[in-house]
Amino acid sequence: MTALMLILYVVVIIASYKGSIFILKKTELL
Amino acid sequence: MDIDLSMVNWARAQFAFTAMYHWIFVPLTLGLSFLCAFFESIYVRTGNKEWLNLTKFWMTLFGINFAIGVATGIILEFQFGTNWSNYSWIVGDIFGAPLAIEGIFAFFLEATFFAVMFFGWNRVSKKFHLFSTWMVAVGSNLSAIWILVANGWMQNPVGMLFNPETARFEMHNFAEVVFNPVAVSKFVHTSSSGFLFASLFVLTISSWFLIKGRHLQMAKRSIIVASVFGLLASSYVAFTGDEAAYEVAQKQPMKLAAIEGLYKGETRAPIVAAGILNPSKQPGDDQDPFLVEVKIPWALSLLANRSLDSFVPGIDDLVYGNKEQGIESVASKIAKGKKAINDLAEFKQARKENNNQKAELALAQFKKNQDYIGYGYLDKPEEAVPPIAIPYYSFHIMVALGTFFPLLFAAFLFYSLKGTIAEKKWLLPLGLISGLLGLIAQESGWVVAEVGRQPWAIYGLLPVKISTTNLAAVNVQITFFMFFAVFTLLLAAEIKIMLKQISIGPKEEL
Repeated sequence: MTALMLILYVVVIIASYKGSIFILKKTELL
Repeated sequence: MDIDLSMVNWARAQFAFTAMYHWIFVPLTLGLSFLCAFFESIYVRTGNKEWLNLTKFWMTLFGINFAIGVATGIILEFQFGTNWSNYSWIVGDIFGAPLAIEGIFAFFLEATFFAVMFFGWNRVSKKFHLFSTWMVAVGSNLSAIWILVANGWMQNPVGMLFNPETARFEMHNFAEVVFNPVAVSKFVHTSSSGFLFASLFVLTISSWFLIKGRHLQMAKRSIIVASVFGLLASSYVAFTGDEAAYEVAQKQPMKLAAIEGLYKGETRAPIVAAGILNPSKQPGDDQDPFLVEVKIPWALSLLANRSLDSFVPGIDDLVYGNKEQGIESVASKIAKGKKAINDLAEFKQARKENNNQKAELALAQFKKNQDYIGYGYLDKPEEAVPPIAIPYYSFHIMVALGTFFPLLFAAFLFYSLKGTIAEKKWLLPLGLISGLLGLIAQESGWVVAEVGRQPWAIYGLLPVKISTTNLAAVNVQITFFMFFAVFTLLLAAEIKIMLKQISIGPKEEL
């Protein structure tokens, strides 16, 4: 569980950046 | 043993006040540092100067907040020496290590790169500047790891041995202290709640710009990045909050019983989703703990033990014992604790007299009951119960707000995707107050953790009332009001400088 929580912690950070880029492109705000 | 309770209470009040003040600034640092890294990464990726202006705007607010966060944090560490010297003596060998590592390793990392981030524009390459911004974010959260390792150890002391010669706890296994499951779940929950709070802070200011019809493009962009970060972080906060609650149930069952107002243990125990506590309820009496309540059946057993059919002990079980469930009463633990205190005193006396045979005998007796030594300082079994109302209401406020935030981020994201966010007159005021709601949730979380830990400084080992310095209360009263004045000035200064920067808005560097 400890490993899963730490992996997901990093995933949240990376996915937030990637997800932001994706939506900014979609809304033409990039 | 004479204990000046007014000194204990003033020392507690001072630490609570300064810690809660410090926590206004810290979660914003933890999250806004990553948001600044996202913004600057987008600037470096696109080369669009509008993203540079946006990055510099949020970085300015980050810098103002960071400075006051550092100033208020230093005051906290000094209190371990001034007000809590017995605590520092007894557990400083373990507690001091993560605090020192935080200063030498993590804080120096973030402080060094903070200088590059702030003063390095046009002095270092774009990519090195971006690397520095990411390092500030990593360093800030590394700082949080070490502080939460220290706090996690207070909640679940592991990796140490008691040295009867010095009457101190000494580090035995560093890895066990660092990977303490309470510390790990506490770090990921606390750090990601900082991501959530910073996202709300960005929503608040961006909503204000949209309401005022200023910097529309910048506000819409900020809202999208903050909403994505906030939505993912708030989902993760719920997941780690569940794990943190499971750890509390396993390691601090009294705290769990307090935050749920559970007096009589149950199998298939329900969670109280909402309710008003009965203020006259006392441990051991037959009154109903609640005036009104709404329960979710079986949910507490599932949360506490990952099993619907499991037994969750209540306050009465933990105080008065429950033979059927194998729970020892506090009265029995107090008796063992008092014996351990006497055996330790005999051991020391025998050592003084150079009577090795007597010393060995006393030490062997002491080791039988040494795990209960903290209980020997409690005057009565009911003293082992923390205040109920404060952690109960704080916990439920935190959970209610934690349920609301993902919905708010989802709404902001949905209308951003539709391109109508600036027209949503009902949603923007919610965004405007969301930062304040985030702060309430942040402070509530720490109130649950720390008030629920009472009466212990180190859970089950060291009561708060014997942890303080032997000072007259008036000394702490003077510094309490001094800090109150200084901190209020600092907060007023931060708000004034921030509001000025926000009203100026992002500079147009084209």
